[in-house]
Amino acid sequence: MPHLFSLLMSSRFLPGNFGSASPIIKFAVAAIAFSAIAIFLAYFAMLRMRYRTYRLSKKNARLNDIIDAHLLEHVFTMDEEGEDVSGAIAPDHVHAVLYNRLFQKRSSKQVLVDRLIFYKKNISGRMGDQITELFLLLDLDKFCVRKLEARSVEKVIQGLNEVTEMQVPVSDTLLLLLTNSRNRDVRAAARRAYIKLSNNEPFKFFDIATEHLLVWDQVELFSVISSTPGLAIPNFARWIIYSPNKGVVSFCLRLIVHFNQLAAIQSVIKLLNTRDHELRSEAINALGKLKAEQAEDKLIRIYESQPRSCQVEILKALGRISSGRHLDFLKHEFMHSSSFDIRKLAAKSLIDNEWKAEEMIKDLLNGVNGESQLILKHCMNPLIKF
Amino acid sequence: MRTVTAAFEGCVLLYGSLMLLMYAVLTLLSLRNVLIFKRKNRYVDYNKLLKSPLAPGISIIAPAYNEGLTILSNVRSLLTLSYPKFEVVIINDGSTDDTLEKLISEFSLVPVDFAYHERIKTQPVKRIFKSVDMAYDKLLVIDKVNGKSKADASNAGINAAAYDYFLGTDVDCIIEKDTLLRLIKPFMDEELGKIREVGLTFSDGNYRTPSEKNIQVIATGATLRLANSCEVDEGVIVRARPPRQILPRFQEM
Repeated sequence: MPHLFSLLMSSRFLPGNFGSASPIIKFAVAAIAFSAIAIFLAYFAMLRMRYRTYRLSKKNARLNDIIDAHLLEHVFTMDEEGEDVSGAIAPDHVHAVLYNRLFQKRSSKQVLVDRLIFYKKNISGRMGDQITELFLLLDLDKFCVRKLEARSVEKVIQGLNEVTEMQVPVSDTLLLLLTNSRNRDVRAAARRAYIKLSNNEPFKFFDIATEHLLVWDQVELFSVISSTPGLAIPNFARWIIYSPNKGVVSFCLRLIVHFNQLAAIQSVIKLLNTRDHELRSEAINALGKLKAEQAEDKLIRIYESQPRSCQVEILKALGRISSGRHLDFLKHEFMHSSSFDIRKLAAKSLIDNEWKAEEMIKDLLNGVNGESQLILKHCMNPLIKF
Repeated sequence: MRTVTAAFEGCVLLYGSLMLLMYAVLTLLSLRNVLIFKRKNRYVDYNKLLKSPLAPGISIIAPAYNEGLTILSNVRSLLTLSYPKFEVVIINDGSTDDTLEKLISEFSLVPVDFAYHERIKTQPVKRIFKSVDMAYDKLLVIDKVNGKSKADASNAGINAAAYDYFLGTDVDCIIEKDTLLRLIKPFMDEELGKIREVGLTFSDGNYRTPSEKNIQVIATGATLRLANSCEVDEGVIVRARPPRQILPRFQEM
């Protein structure tokens, strides 16, 4: 290589007086040559990658056609009125068609798994059950479960997603271990899998969770919890009282609101004593949404000592509860608070209590002017939602 | 003289080499982060956020100045984004054409008594409009005096925004349907492990109270492309193509 380089740099191979050019020029030419080669190699690598992806997608499309043809002919059968008349899947038949040499390779098996998961996501009822039956008959559940013990994090996540989608039975112990993995994505996938697949206590991982539950994780878990039919919903108050994990407490508050667990209100009220103002404001928010009238007096009592975020939530809660018992407090905040946002929220909550505060609101509208009147009119306008 | 010339050539070479080296390092770092991002997002299902009550609200703030030709299709495009909780705030920054009139007529807008709080100082706001048509209840239009800059209009939009998160965009930008879902995700992925504690940890409580955020997601961005030669139907790109002409194509590259 150095010999080739020196040959290239000698004046016999380059036009003009390159050989006698200054070192700077030589260096620049060498740099240009190197860059040109590097760019060529980079483009070549990109084109090669694209070509391989193209070949793979063509191959996968061919395999998908075979899978679809078989499923349409033997699994998804409907009569003229669109009624499902598909019978039980004959194992010999399945093995003959789908378990042949075409699907012995790991990559082809993966295509088959992906296709079945695609159909499982989009088809429900008896046909959906048949997809699961076919999945188990072809031993694809073993193929997916093996991935849970793979070294590669990606394989583990892939396996977890697959067993979750196809509702393949997996050992609770293995899943529970993965729910506390150091890798965040493995943790998230394992938690979703545990809720969906655990027969005994689908929320047991709340007890052992040490890592924080991110907001995105909460969204995914919420989706799994609300879309899993027949899931045994516990009283989430248990974790509010005993869990040291702030993310778990926060998530349980949201679940209590979603499932309207009125029995948990006392536990949520106890959370008002926590020193963590973020959790406290979430607890106040939950009390408002649960319309916990029994919490109103305490909220008023603690209002003055709270940070702004909690004061905002208290005002919102009074509007949502709408008991009509603290109108004077709301009026006072509306008239005398130095914060625009507090005044706006107090006005909104007064309007929410209109069933009891109609006269008061009329008097205020006639009695105030300028910004206060504008705030009241803003809150009363049904076109303005926020 | 020769010394000066040589020194100049050396400086130019050094400068060029440093620039190239910097680009090379940035390229390698970008490649690494792109691969990490692709790996992490392979199994992300944004549709879960679409149906979730936990999705945070986002205000889309779009200043408009003399956009009469395209304002209607662009606003429609913004109103049809896929996200469960958002509003669109259009700020008419003292347009001299029929931008505002078109908006009023098309979206059935009426002036409302809006409690506008000027947190950030801007040029005066003249009127604020909302639609009487329920189909456009996400739309808020602000009419203000021209502030000679887009920043002034954006600030007015921020003042009127209802949500804590906002997306600043131009009204002539076409945004992909799932943009809001993708942009909000890094905020929701913020890892508590990077939050540093400051001060005392309460000994009687069980919770760690984050007093100061060491690393926090304060903004997210997206890639911008030219829409030249793309097929656009009612504010939605139905087919993306590279620009046909040489100069825009070079600009895109």
